[in-house]
Amino acid sequence: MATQTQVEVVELFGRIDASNSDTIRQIVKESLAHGAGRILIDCRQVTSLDSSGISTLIVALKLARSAGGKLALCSINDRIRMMLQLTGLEQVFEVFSNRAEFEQRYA
Amino acid sequence: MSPSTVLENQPTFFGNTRSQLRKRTLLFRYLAIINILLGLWYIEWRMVYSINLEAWWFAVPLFMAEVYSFTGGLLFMVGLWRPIERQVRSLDRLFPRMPAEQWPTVDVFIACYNEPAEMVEATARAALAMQYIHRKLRVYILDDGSSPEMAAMAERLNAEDLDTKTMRIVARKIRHRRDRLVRRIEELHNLEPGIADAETFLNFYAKRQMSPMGRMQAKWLGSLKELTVILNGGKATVTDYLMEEIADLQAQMVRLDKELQDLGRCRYIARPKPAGRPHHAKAGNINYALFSGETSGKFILTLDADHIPQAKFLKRVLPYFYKYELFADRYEDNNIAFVQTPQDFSNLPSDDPFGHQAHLFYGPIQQGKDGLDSAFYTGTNAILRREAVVSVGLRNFSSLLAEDDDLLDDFELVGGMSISSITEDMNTAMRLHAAGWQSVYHNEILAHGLAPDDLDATLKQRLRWAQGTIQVLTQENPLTKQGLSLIQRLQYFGTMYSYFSGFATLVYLVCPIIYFFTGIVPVKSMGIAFALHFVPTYIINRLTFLSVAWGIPARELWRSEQYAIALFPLFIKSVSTVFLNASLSFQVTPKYRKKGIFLHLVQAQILVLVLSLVGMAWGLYQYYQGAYSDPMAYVINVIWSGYNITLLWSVIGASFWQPKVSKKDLNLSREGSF
Repeated sequence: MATQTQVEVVELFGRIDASNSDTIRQIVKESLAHGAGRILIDCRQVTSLDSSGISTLIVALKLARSAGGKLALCSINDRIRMMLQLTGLEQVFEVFSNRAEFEQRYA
Repeated sequence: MSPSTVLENQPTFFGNTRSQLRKRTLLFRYLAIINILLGLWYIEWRMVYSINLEAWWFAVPLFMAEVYSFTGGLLFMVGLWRPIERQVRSLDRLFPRMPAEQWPTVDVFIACYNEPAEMVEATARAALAMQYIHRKLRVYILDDGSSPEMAAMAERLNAEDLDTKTMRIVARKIRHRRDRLVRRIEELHNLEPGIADAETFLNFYAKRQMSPMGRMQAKWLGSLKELTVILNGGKATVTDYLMEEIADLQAQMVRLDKELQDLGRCRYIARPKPAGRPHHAKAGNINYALFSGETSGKFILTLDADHIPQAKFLKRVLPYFYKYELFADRYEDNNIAFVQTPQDFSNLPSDDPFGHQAHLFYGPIQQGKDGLDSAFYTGTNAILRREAVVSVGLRNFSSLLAEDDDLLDDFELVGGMSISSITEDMNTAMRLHAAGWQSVYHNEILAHGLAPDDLDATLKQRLRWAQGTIQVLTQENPLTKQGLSLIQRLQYFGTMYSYFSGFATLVYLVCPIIYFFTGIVPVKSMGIAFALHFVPTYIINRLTFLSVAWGIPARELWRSEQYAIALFPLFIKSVSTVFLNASLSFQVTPKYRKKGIFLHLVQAQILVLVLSLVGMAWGLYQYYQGAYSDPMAYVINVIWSGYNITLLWSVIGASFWQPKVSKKDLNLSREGSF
């Protein structure tokens, strides 16, 4: 395992908006500080997300990249996909259909 | 001028908001049509019959200047075609009532750079004192100057606010809930050993279907045992259940602790400004706050450092952002991205030497824009919907990112408000409109600010507005920008077009001077035929303007007309700097009066003034020498030039204007010095 990039999965629940932006970025920062080189944000239980939620994900992506790591999303529902399309940011994120697909690719 | 009707206590209309056509609009339209027809007739006469081609080198520029002015007038009239007046019920008087828990969270952003801390303190205090649910309002001082005094002031204000009666009650309520939790946890902890023993006892006898007391009682114990399983909610033992309950209460306690820590309503944000990277001025400052994670209000009230909001500000403006859905029986968000209110100044001398009064703009012009779905956002005294600004910002960001991947590092600075112009407010509003969001202009004075009170600061501010506006035209031409309606295109273009007036003005100023020294006229006849065409056109034009400006003091209108002409060098400079691609910097308007005489700032105006006066005298001399064949031309040029001089005098006078020191002020300063 030591040779592999450390993977960390962050599971989000409920509504992602401006009010939990700080919490999410703290979690991502901690993961990176623990040496996670690859972070997967699992959105399976996310019910809704607004533009501020997307901006939080972008900040998380930026944090990961500036620490030399990667950040991906998985299990995004149609609503989240639509928000990403509307803002034109779909290409910016690496998206997996579920956690298994991610693990298959990087395990 | 009276602000829009306040309907706090006398709801006389159905629904919560109402808009109607501004008074005298029909009269205006009638005059405007005559104006356009007469204007066309005049232009045609000038083009076909009266251009003096022998002096084409200045006859043609004059004609072009006139066409420019006519087109400007046309755009102005289009912009005022449908001005609307709005009325609104206050948030606490909506019908049906909006329950307090549905009132949205609001962040106040006070953007400052190097203003004195006392000035910002007054604004922040007023913002904290706005009538609203205390826990849903937060005030952020966005200090782009990172000054320690400002940070200390914010901290002190925060502490003071926490110490107010209301905030103490809020804190006490939370602490009270916390205390209850603590007691409950303690109770459950105390239960724990007894429960564990009882459960062992229960299990032992229920299993054996016997008890020390007899068979009957053993059956009861069995039933009790089954009941605990049902009540456990799927947990294996009652002790497990107890532990889970305790953990849940502890989590609640953590949340309350966080809430207590988070009670402070006055916060300070100073973004880091790494050297060698663009900071994007005010837009960057606001964007950083939007994306820093420290702010989360659903709505954002933007205030300049010296703009003091009234207590009722939020209650008067927030209702515009909601619509009542009868069938769902609740208030829902509508499509309004921002509501702009007027700017009003509390420090203007009675004669307003720098022409800051803006009742024409924060009145008919904004109402006209509002009626055509394109109210102007002017950066202060307005509430924005976070979702609108962020979603449109993200869309813009993604297109920038496609060109430059490294931009991701600057996301916090560029993801929201537009950074591509030094008038980020106007550009942001245009993008919101292009994305299909709507806007409102609410014509009620709800904040009082300070206007620059020396010529240097005034000119800096005007130059930024002019440059920024033209910059938007070159980068995001509203005539071709996708998403805007035709009328919105004309509205935005009209504003930008008006900033090109410097060139036309120069021609108007120079024409009579050329005549005085050469005797050449740009118009074939300066006599009766000219007067016959010009005078009616001019009069109807003035009447049309008056029908719009009705109610605004004549003195103010005259002042704004003077400045529109007298600032011609500034307008020319702004166009040339933008088109020559000079890098423009966001000049923060100074807030302290600079003493002194600023004649060096008005050299061009003085030159024109002197040439006009000398020209008139020289012309008079020529006239007595019998050099003029047409004395009428001299008279017309003297009137023209005299008019020019009175227009220019405003800014020249302002360059050596000094505030009158009243006795009261003297006494105060004397007291202060002892």
